[in-house]
Parts: sequence; structure tokens; C-alpha cells
Amino acid sequence: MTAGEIEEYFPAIKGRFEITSEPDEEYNCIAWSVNDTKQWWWPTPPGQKKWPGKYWPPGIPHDETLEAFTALYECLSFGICSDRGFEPEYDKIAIYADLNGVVTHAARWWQEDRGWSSKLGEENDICHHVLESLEGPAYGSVFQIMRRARALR
Amino acid sequence: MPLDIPKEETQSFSEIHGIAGLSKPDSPALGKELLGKEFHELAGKWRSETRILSSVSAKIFNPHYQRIIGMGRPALPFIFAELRDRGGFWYWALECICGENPAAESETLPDAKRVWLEYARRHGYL
Repeated sequence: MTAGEIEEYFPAIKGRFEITSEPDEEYNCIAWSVNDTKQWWWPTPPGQKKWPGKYWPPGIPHDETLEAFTALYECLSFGICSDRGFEPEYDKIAIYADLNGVVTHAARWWQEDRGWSSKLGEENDICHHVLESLEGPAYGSVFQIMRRARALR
Repeated sequence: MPLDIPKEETQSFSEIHGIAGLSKPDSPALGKELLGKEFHELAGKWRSETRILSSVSAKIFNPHYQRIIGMGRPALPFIFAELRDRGGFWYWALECICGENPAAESETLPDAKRVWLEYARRHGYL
């Protein structure tokens, strides 16, 4: 997508982001949040067949709920925190959900990132200055922040 | 006694296809052109509404995607061309329309794409 197209989807982001990759349909925001660029991390609800290239860790509920995604990141050694800012020695995850509590997106702020970093579905990665830039009709709001000591990667 | 045909069954070709002012095409080429137009309109809307989403459910249950599935086998050449040229999460639609999944054993998206495009060439869709 172009910068203009991104701003159409996320009006609050105007001028406060940079595109950091080409579009890539192999991986999504959840995969990017754990540095996987070869699989699409998303649960497979009952009745749906497994998608090629899709992944969901065994033992994690196949739900699009905040509880399921919290369990996902907890099994990767993340814990809930309240601070949205950069903290030395910690990688961070921000989980977005809609008003019904259905998870829509996750952003990451790893030590090597210059700010919050998000993969926009099949499209580009972007680095955005604040989490609020992606809040709105497409992704809802940030519901939870989680962090993991970098030493636990 | 005249048949009492429900109104919804007396729609004209143009009403069914949402293309105002057109009568039923009198050539296969024109029919294919109109089908292609409809497909690309639906595919464009589907991409626009879902390309930034991660939820597979949101992608495959999108109304425009569902309408493409509803187009059936005539849509296959357009879907395969789209898959070849632009990629996209067409695998659910392809399996629904074709009634089979040659990429069932594929573990990766690139491999599934390769298998489906081979299928398309083998069956004359590309």
C-alpha cells in the first residue's frame, strides 16, 4: 500500500509512521509480533479447515478472544503490563480488539524496533509512533499490553 | 390459468448482474466480458475491505468473496489469473468451487499457490 492508502485506513496515523517492508501475504501481524515472517498466525475456529501456511500453537484455544491471545503470548513468556512506553530490556506487545472483544491486531515494540511496529494484514510492516495511530474502525482499540524480558526470547 | 411467477424470478439479466441498461448478451464473448467485470468489481471490494485484516474468517466470509464463490465455475479463470498475478487468499473459494483441494498437503502458502496454478493449467483455466 502507499502511504496515502494507509492514511485512508487509519486517519489518526497521518504523518506519524514509516513503511518498513514490502507487502507480504505469508505472514500477518501476530506472526510479525513474534518475528515469524513465514507463517500466518491465527486460530482456526470450528468448522474451518486449516489454511496453507497458517499456524496456531498447540494447546492454545482456537478463539479470536482476548483470553486466547493472552494465553498465546503467555506461553511465549510475555506477561501483562500497563506501561505503553519503551522499557529497556523488554520486548512489548499491544493487542487490539473490537468492541465485542474480538481480537483484530497486534503490534510489537522489540528492542531493535524504532517504535511500535505493525504488519497490516497482507500488506506492509509499518513503524508507528504511538499505538493510538491504529485505533479506529479497522482495528478497534488497544485492550492489552504485554511484555517479556529480552533475555527470555 | 397464467402462472403466478414471484417477482424475484422475473428479474432481467441486467437486474441480476447489476448492470443497468444491458440486455442479455447474445455472444459468449460478451457474457465472459460481463462476468469478468463483475468479478473484478467484487474482487476489488473484497481486497479493499480485508487486505489489512488478519482474521481468516473475516476474509472468507466477506460478502463480496461469498458472491464470487456464488459465481461458480465460470469465475475460475478470473480467480486463477488473480492468484497468479496478485496472490491473495483464494484457496477457500477455489476449494468450494472446484469441490476438491489439490493443495491439501501443502504446508506453505507459496507451495499451495504453486499447486493450484498447476491445477489451473492442467484443467485449461490458465
